[in-house]
Amino acid sequence: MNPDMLRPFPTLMHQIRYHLSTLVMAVILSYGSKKKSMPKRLVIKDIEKCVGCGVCMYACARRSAKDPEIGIDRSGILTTSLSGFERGATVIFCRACEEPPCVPVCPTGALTPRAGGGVSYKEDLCIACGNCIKACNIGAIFERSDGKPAVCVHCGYCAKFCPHGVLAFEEVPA
Amino acid sequence: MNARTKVLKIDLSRYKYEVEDRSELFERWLGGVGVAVQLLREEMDVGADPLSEDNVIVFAIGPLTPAYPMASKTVALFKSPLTGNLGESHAGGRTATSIANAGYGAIIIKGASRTPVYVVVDNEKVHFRDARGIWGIKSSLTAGRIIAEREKGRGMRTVMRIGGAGERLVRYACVTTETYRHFGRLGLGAVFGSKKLKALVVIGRGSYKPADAAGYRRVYEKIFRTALESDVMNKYHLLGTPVNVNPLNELGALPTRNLKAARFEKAEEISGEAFAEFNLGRRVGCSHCPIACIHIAVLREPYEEESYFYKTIMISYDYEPIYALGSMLGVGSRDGLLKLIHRVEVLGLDAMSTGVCLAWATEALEKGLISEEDTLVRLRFGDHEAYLRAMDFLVEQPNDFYKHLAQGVEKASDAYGGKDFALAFGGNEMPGYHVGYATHLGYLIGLRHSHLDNAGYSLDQKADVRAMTPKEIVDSLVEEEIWRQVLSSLVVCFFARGVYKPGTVVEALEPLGIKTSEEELRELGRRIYAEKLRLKMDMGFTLDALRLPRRIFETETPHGMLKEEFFREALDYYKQKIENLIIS
Repeated sequence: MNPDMLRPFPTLMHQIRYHLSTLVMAVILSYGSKKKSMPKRLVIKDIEKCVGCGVCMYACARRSAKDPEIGIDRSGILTTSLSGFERGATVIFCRACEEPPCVPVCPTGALTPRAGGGVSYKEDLCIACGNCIKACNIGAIFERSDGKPAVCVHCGYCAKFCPHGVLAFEEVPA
Repeated sequence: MNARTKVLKIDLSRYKYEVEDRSELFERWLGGVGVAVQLLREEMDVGADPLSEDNVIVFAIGPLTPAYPMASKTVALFKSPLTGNLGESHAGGRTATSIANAGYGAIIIKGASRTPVYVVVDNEKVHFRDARGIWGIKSSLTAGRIIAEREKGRGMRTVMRIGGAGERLVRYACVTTETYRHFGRLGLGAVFGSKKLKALVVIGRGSYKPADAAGYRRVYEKIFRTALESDVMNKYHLLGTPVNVNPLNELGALPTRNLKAARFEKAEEISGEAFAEFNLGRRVGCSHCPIACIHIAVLREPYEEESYFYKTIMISYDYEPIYALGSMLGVGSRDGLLKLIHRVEVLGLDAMSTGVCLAWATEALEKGLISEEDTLVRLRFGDHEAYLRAMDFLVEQPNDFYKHLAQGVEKASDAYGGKDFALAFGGNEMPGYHVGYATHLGYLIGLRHSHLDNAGYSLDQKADVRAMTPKEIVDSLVEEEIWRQVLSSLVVCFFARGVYKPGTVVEALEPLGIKTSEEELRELGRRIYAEKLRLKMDMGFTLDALRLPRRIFETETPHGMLKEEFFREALDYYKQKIENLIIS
């Protein structure tokens, strides 16, 4: 619940202070971005809007311009119902942890922390041990048919196809 | 080269399975219905009893799944226990993409299990699971939930299951997939039931590569943008199929109270607009379709005995159940109608056949052909409580009357009379349109006696149809059905037919390594139509046996009263036409 709602009436001073602080933040952030562009990542705008269409999964499979695939073997995002479509749907993908638990268990350095959260994945280094899949606390790394991980690397390609404003690709502080 | 050319054959009599690559079949017949007709002919004796182990089910998908959006349909072919002839039913949900991602172009179910089972296809492996503990659960929702929780693969699977109606062999029981989508028509649920097959789960997580990477991504984006940005799919995007209720009612084409009328005084109350305003709670989509046309209503109901307790049920609604369980039964209360739709969903009945059967029973009771001893509950148009009980009786079949009614309106009227108002075409209960000649001719000559075969109801709503001769109408219906054989071999959703125009289909197939032309596709459609018709005839179908229910001549259509002579002329012409089609 919004703490403001607990107060009977937010005073005018409260409101001015709130808007001022937002303004100051915005100025600081825009100044920062001029210096160096901020990393982007895939974010959820409103999960309640998800219709479970899975268009994002298929976009993920096509993300490589040179080597697109048809199917979901290497999709790093999964659409699923919430125990039946009567309860709605959701998407599961890497939430870009600041300290990704999948990184330290990778024996070959195939997974490394990425600026802005989450991981970079070097497929050629991966020996398909599956440690990362087990280590992910939220079950957001999937197993491909060759045993290697299918993990979201926050490229943002799927967000271009999300038809209902669930996913977006946005700048985040590094 | 279409990479989904493997056929998985599951034998329930021996608990065995095998996989065969049939690329030659897919090259020649594309996929979907084109391939399924050939596989059914190979695997099934045309004289098979539909409820015996000799019946065969073929599920087939096409080359556009899952390569492109809105290609989310699976075709099922089988022998129908409702008509005793060819059964064909299409469903959305996640079935098509799961079969494709598991690596198959088709799955065949043969034989019958001795004891209840459900089958799990996990990519390349097949598991036969004991279902004795699940058998007897009447609710297809509960059965689906139990299986979903026991099995892995969430998000990449389909759970196709039956409810009580399928187990009890109601000849128009459906197979439900992903809670809200159905292989609805012609009784696939009863075929599952007769095989003691409670559910078929398919888990798929595979991929393959297109022949032309850049071309594939380009065509994909074009199709995707066309679907979202043009208005060709608006009808399904906004109010969904119930958008039809008000216009059809205004036109005088909405079958009401067993088609004693074609206008319903409470149509506004059960219209797409009213559902959207008062009940629409959520929208969901089939897998790999951005349209999300599945409209789900919220029904909030108090507990009968306790205050301040509510149950909240989510119910998927579409035009067809609104017609069949609403106007056809005279039910104008939206809450009452939602309860009827929900009960049909729970029991796993086909909504259209159920509505038409109960509408016939109501009129037969009014006319004294049957009594309350038969119906066990006093059926009256508009009384949804009575219909809720009657639906349970259809599944339980506590007496001879319900045993007959569970076999469809054709069989029930054979036994009790009332043929004139038994609204079935080719043994299949009537869909929700009474627009004119093309509509009813469409039901009659459509190869699955469905409004979707040739969209006669749509032709009847076009301005120039009044000037058309019987011959011209037949030509136009068959031409449409021929093109739809292509669409259901690709397999794309018919709702996306405005996006998948012939030129676009050719363009979409090319990056997948399938080179063809618009002319070749139409020719293929013609061949599939002829093959399907030939199979139907080998199963015993004759045009002479087709019956026109008198009722359609007694209730005015937007084109006035229909005349039998027009149908005779049309059917005579159709008879010659198909002889040529089959020979060529």
